[in-house]
Amino acid sequence: MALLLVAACAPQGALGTPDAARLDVALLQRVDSLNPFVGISSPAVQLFGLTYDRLTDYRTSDNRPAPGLAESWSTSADGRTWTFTVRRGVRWSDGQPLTAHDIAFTYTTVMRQPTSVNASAVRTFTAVTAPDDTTLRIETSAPTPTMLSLDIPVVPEHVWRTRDPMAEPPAGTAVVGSGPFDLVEARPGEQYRLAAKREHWRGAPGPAEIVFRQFTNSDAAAQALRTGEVDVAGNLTPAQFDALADEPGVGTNEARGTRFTHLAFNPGAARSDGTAIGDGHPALRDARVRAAIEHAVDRRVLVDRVLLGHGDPGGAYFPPAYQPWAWAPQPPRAFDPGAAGRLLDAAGYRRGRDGRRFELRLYAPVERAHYQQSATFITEWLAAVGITVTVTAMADTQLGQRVRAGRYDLVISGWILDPDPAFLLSVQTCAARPDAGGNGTTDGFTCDPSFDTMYRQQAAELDVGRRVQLVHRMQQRLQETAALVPLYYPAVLEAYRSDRFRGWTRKPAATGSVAGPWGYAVVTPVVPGAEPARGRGPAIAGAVAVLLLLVTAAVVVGRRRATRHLRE
Amino acid sequence: MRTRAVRGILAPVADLAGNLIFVTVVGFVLFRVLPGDPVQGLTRGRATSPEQLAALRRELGLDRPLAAQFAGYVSDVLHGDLGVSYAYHRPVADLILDRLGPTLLLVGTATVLSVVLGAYGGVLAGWRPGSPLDRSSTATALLLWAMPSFWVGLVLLVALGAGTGWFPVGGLRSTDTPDGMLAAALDAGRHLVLPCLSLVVIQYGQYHLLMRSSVSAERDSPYLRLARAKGLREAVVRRRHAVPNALLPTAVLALVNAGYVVSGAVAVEAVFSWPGLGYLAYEALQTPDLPVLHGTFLVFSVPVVVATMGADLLRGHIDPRLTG
Repeated sequence: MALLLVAACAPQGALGTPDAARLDVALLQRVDSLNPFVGISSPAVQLFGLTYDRLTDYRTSDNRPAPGLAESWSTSADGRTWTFTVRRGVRWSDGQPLTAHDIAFTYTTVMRQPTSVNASAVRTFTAVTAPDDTTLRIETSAPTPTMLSLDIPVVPEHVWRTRDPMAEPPAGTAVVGSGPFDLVEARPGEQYRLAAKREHWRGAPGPAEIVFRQFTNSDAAAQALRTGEVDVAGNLTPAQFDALADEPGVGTNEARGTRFTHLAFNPGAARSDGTAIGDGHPALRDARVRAAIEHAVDRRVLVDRVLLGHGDPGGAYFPPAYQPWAWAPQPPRAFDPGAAGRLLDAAGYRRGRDGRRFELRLYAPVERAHYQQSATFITEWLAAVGITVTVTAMADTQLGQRVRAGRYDLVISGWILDPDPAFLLSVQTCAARPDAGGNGTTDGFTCDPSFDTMYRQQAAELDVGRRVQLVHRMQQRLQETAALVPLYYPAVLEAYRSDRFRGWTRKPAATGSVAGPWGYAVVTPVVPGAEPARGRGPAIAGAVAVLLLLVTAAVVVGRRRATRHLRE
Repeated sequence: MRTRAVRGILAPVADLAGNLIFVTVVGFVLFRVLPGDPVQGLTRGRATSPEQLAALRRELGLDRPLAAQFAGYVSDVLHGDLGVSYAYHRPVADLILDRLGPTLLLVGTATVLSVVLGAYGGVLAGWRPGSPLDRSSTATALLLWAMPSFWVGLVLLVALGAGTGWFPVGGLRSTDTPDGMLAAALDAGRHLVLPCLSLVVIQYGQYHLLMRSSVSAERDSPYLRLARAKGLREAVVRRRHAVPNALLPTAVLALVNAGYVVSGAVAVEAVFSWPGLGYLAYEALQTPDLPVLHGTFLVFSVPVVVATMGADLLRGHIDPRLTG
């Protein structure tokens, strides 16, 4: 107890007065690894984004490829060989020059490690070489349109040559990178501190320091933003976001086009070799039944009531803000219970005497509240058209296993989009279905030969315009076959201290997110060198604790006096 | 005589060994029976192909038969190797050691405070059952004990953390940890206040109630009448005669609970972003990160087994009546 009271009395100076040029970022997930060949969690990717460079970047304005370590590039006539000109004068944090050899080493390492985090990005690579310090040549087995969105942090060959690329770097070893920041402190589970490199080739970063602070729940992160303990927090819930919107000195941002939530069907689950598995309801094999379910769902209501307006109703596979890949169905399958009933009748599922047609099982992951809430609405709407639904909430991992075994009828699922659509399109191909060992990425057992044909075409299409056309047609195909019901596209809700830092940049500019490496590196302190209004707490706490101590002392003394005559 | 002594030592040791073997087996079986595929958990939402999933499964050894996995696990545990975390790629022992300190600090402090507060309050309440002090303090203890810790934590966080700004809303120490032992300890202490308070507010109730009932049971014992007849004051009768006899159940409860100190308080750690063991295990469950789950399960259960046995043995020393 004494410790607590004394602690509360700590003088203000002892608690550290934060630098005005230090940006404090709230992390809600863990940094799973400091090894860029291994780390996959979003905070790890953010750290790599600030401490390493990549071959190409995305333009902040529209997410299109932009020069990174490569200043320019060209492809051979057959589209299979890429030649990059690498920027001169870039240095690693230990002073060594960065050359094309480092990039070749990095990519070759990824190619050799099938379980490294970016292995799928280099799937078509056959050889990566550096004929000289500024030339990088990549040979591929097939045209690779994702070449300019590789997102692979480039590591120094002189450091990594002798390391096991899949092992965690030994604790205490300095991270050698070429990015705009150096990692100077790592306290896993607590915080990561980054110091700006004044002479970075992109120009001096805005903040002098960035500190990533670990939070284990978003309520605490939202409160920390209110009190000024952190300067930016992403992934807030709609309620937290709305509560922060009126807070003075706090700016908010709704990023769109980065995620989607859909209702997936069991259209007759089968393994990748075609063996039927699971126990899905046979009615869902009929596209008319699936379309009827889409007609029965009022997506506007889901956005208004479940997302509290922070999102857009679903139409196509990808959200409208996901440019240039988004496609809008004309007309969309609108909310129309009458049409749903007619389609179900036509499919041969007439209402029984009790008004019911058939029963389905709907599974929803417990991890996000909006999945559960949506499931409740969907149950009511389907009941109205004669389909009885029983909802089961399940942990994500458990549900994933059930889905891959085909033991479900309906499941609510969601994805976060990469700048390139290739992976999320692959999820809907026949090859994504699980093998006998349960290895698969499907989330709805879609298997449609004409979709697969277009998938292969876009995967080898280097012309952006033609590839966009193909991606649009693939989404059209998903809509025509009623492969899934796009429910909504949740906005990513972020808040930041506009009274401490200015210059918050969305990426892409129209609808994007501010909470990411691109934003952290460029924000500038509002008042350089000024003391922020933090840390007034300790003084008050100290005063209260002193008061408590005095009262306790008074009571004890009083009691002793009162009983003095009785003491032996 | 000699055989009895040997049995007196051997029986508890055999008991302990049996319990530990049981814990090891249950730890393995429990997390395999739970649904969830680590390979899918680790690659969720990330661009992968079925071939990569298969490669990862092979790399983690999850494609081996269960019996082979179990044999490997037992042999590793016997060699003191808890394996490498799937999600963190670091040895589980290192992860656990990192988190052990904060958890011991938080739950240890909270347990000591709860025992002291609860026992003292229980003595005062039990000495005069039915008095206003008894009724109010026992009702409060019951009420607080019934509250969910996650909720209490959040209320304290919003009211005393964010509302007044007196205490930080999370973490173990400040971003810029002050120099010097004392200043650093004070800084950690300030961070400790709210999570510790959340635990104490809930936990002290059980000690209060237990102590109250044992003290009120002793109150009218003949030996106390004798003590009073000697002319001793009530406070002395209580302190010297009643409390030592009434302390036994509370002491045993405190000892048994000492075993649970390690497992921490997952909910409170989650509310206050406390870098402790409980939260590590909770997080591991989501993947599921089997080596971390096995490791934390051992670290959670072994102290409970040992503490329970310790409580059993120590009971005799605290209360000589039991070793008659």
